[in-house]
Amino acid sequence: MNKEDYKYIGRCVIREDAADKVRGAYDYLADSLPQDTLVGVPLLSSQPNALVKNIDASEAEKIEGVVVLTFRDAPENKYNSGEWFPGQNDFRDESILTGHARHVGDRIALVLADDEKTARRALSKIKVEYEPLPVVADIEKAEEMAHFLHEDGEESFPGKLRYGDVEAAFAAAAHIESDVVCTQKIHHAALEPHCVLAIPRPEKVIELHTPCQIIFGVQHAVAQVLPLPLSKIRVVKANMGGTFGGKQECVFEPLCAWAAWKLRRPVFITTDRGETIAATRTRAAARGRVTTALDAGGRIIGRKFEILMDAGAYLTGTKKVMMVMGKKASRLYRVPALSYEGRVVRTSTTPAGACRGYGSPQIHTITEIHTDLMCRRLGLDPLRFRLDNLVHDGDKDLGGASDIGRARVIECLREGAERFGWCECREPVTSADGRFVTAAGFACCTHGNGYYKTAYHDVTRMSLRILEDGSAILRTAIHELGSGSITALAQIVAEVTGIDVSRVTVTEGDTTFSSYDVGCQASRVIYVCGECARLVSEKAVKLLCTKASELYDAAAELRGGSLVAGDKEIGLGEVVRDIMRKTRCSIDVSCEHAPESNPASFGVHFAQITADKLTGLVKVGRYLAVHDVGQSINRNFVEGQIYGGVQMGIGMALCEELDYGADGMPKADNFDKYHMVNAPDMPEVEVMLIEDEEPGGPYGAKSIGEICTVPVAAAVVNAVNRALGTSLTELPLTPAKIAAAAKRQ
Amino acid sequence: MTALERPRSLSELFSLRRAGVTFVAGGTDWIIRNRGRLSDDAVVADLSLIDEMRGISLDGGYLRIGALETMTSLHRSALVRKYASALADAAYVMGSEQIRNRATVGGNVANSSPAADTPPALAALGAEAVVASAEGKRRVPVEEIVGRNKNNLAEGELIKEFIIPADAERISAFLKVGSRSQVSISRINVAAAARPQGGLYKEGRLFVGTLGVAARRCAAAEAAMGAPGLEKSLPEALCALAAEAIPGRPTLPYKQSALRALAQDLCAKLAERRAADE
Repeated sequence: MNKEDYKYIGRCVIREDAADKVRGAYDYLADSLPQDTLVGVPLLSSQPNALVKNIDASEAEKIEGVVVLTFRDAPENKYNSGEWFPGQNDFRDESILTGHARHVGDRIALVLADDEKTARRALSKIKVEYEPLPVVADIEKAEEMAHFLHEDGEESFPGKLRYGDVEAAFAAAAHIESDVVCTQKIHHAALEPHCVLAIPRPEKVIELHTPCQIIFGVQHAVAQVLPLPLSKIRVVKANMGGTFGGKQECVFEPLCAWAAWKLRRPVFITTDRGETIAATRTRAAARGRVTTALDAGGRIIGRKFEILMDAGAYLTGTKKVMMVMGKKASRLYRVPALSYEGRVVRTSTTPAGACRGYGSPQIHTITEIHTDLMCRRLGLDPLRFRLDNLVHDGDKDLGGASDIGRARVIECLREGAERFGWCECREPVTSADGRFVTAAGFACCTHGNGYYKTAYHDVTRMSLRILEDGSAILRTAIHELGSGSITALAQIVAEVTGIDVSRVTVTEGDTTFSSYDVGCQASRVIYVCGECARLVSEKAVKLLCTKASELYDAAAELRGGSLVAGDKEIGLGEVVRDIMRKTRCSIDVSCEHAPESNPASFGVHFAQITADKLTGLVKVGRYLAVHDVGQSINRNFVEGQIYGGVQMGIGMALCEELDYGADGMPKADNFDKYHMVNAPDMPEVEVMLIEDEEPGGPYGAKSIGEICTVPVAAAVVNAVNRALGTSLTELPLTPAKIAAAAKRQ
Repeated sequence: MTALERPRSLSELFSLRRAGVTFVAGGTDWIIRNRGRLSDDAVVADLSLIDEMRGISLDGGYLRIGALETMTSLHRSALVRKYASALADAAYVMGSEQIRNRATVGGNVANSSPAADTPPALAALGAEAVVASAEGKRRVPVEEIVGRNKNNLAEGELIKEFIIPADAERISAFLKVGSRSQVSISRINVAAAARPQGGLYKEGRLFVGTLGVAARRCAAAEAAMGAPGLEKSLPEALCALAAEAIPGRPTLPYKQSALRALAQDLCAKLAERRAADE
């Protein structure tokens, strides 16, 4: 089928939830709670590292209906919130409530009442006595101070990757260049703060409703604190107001399930912005040294990484993030020999975890800033250098992961540079008074499409039923995170079956009724789940046509939403009814898909900025995002992801930071001090897509949601460094840092 | 909270005769600060129905601005733009559209945040606040009301209105640097007012905000405005003021750099307004 003949693929179908969301009528979890629900707010530590000596809740408990559960009531079971499948054996150092508060925001008690207002009033009356311990604020000192923070004796969590003859490469190098780049701790800033509802049901079932990313991972997390088989733990994906990875790990789910189980009442845990910032998860900060060995012709012959990651107070999934960073280092440039050494340390700060890109923004920011600085020092052209070193179509990943696939990164760079007019805007232009400098920068990146050939399994199963009126239901375990995934899957079903997209319903995950899926993580939804939706649709069509051929005694096929059998054209609903009545068969099929490939997606972003050397403010003027997406399923969704990804990335480059004082106290607890790029400061983002159909994806589609935020920070930082002639590598480049650096120049 | 009073006049307000009454106007700072934290016996007086605290008018050579006027009404007022453009500038860039629709000028001064935007503008314009209480009224220069996160009003006193000399010969301007171009709290701000005369600025008044208090007068800058070479002398005067106000503070180098930017922009804006008047 030619692309021009697609009825739904690549089209801008409007999502079913759009009108309600715009009108504020969409039903989020907090909007409709069951009768009799207790509302819980967490009592969070005000101290960065301290033992709780006493909790006096007597005044709080005098308020009618108030229940206070403290760490003394709670099981001490340790778990790791980043573990999403039994047996992953991530190091366990967290419990649902703790008497050793390890960061400002650590959970020490849960205060419950009939409504949030009463719960908060009760919370304000609780007096906590702390015995302070030394604060672990500096990641460089975290190992020697580890025993102050954890009693488990672990100083750090190291990991290594290595291939090729690194020593020989460095011995033979014509040039060896090295930089240290630091990326910061970032708040996800989903509009909906964290919340979860747990309902104890008869027959020893606990039911959770949560805006999460991995229902089966939540099931596993709850099983760590309740003595129930997985089959008795029902997890229903709730309507979600954003996640960006922040709701991937289970922060409040085990606590909520335990509280509801203990009290035999529905419990809804809710948080405000300050609590979500202090108590949930962050993007992990990284300090990375990258050293590159080049031959005389400017080709990379070897690369070494030394990465120090800050997990915050608990290990969480940060070791996974650190290891994944290493795996991504061999998939953008041809690096014949690579050594990656990482260490994760724990500090008395809010725990890190998954965050859009899962290590990709960190590793590519480190390498792309380094690449520009290295080129400047060696007098190499940064565009030429990348064209000479980027991976090619069909390359193997020397790191041992899945082949690169239909790589179009060179096309992205070449065509993007032309569209952006790189050659015309690459040199900085200074205003007459010398105060303002305009310059451009760019950066390349890659990201994956699932878990095939990684440390984790990748499999999904869906079922599709064509109903008696010719409409269809696709039953999945996926999670709509706000990106439009369920509409995209409906478009795929509609394209295959010819059923009008408005008559296709896609269900989200519910562990009791959904078949297994790995979860909405690893940028796998469109490539893996989308392909499963296509396969199950084909299977349903095949069943329908087989049955119809028997029934009508003529070769049957679906054409434009109707069935053609011999010289007859019959409406789909009528065919399904005939089949059901006469052959006693329903059109209901199930299909499991375990991908055999995990290609790379690519992106190249170009930014033109103007820096004010006195105020240090940077205005991003022009912006071009070029992406190798294989095929867009819904062009609007792809663009929407890119706009949001650019907004997050500019924040990473210039202003967003969860900063802590030497005393371990967080400097920001709300958006007055945590600065994000807002609409007036956003550039017009031009989007350019390269759509060359990736094998293995539905209609050739591959991922966009995470990768679009990956190259942004480096593109902007590179532009600033070009503008000012600086070598700034400590993100974010705040006005104070830029003004100080401009003054030094 | 045990009581919410909604008086319709100042006399009704002052007849309440209750100790510890908290006054709330637009509430854009107050509500955030007190959400969930109000004591059980708090008494709150909502001032928003007191009409005599509203209005913008020209009266006997003075511009009178009711304390309940919002940022939006200030920057949209032709009178404010003509006689107090620094105040219109400040009101226009304060907070967000939604905040500007509710936040009042009286509240912005009384709240006394060091990063507030209207106090330096009002002070540069020589504004006096009319302070009212059960005992009567008194007039106080705005810069004497704002303290460090705390105003210098006595218990039971409130700002009824502001009185600004309406001088058509005078120009003024306000500028700020925040973390963003819009919806941003000032890292540093500056306001100046003066009469242009032969290429110089006479009777200059210049106030800087966010250096510990919301409106700190800079005498050296005012002198510089009346002499040639302002482009060179103004940044030095402002940097010296910052060094004196917040010595050794880690934010000092950045504030000084930003003040150099504001000095440049202020010279340009004053020159532009002078040219527009001529």
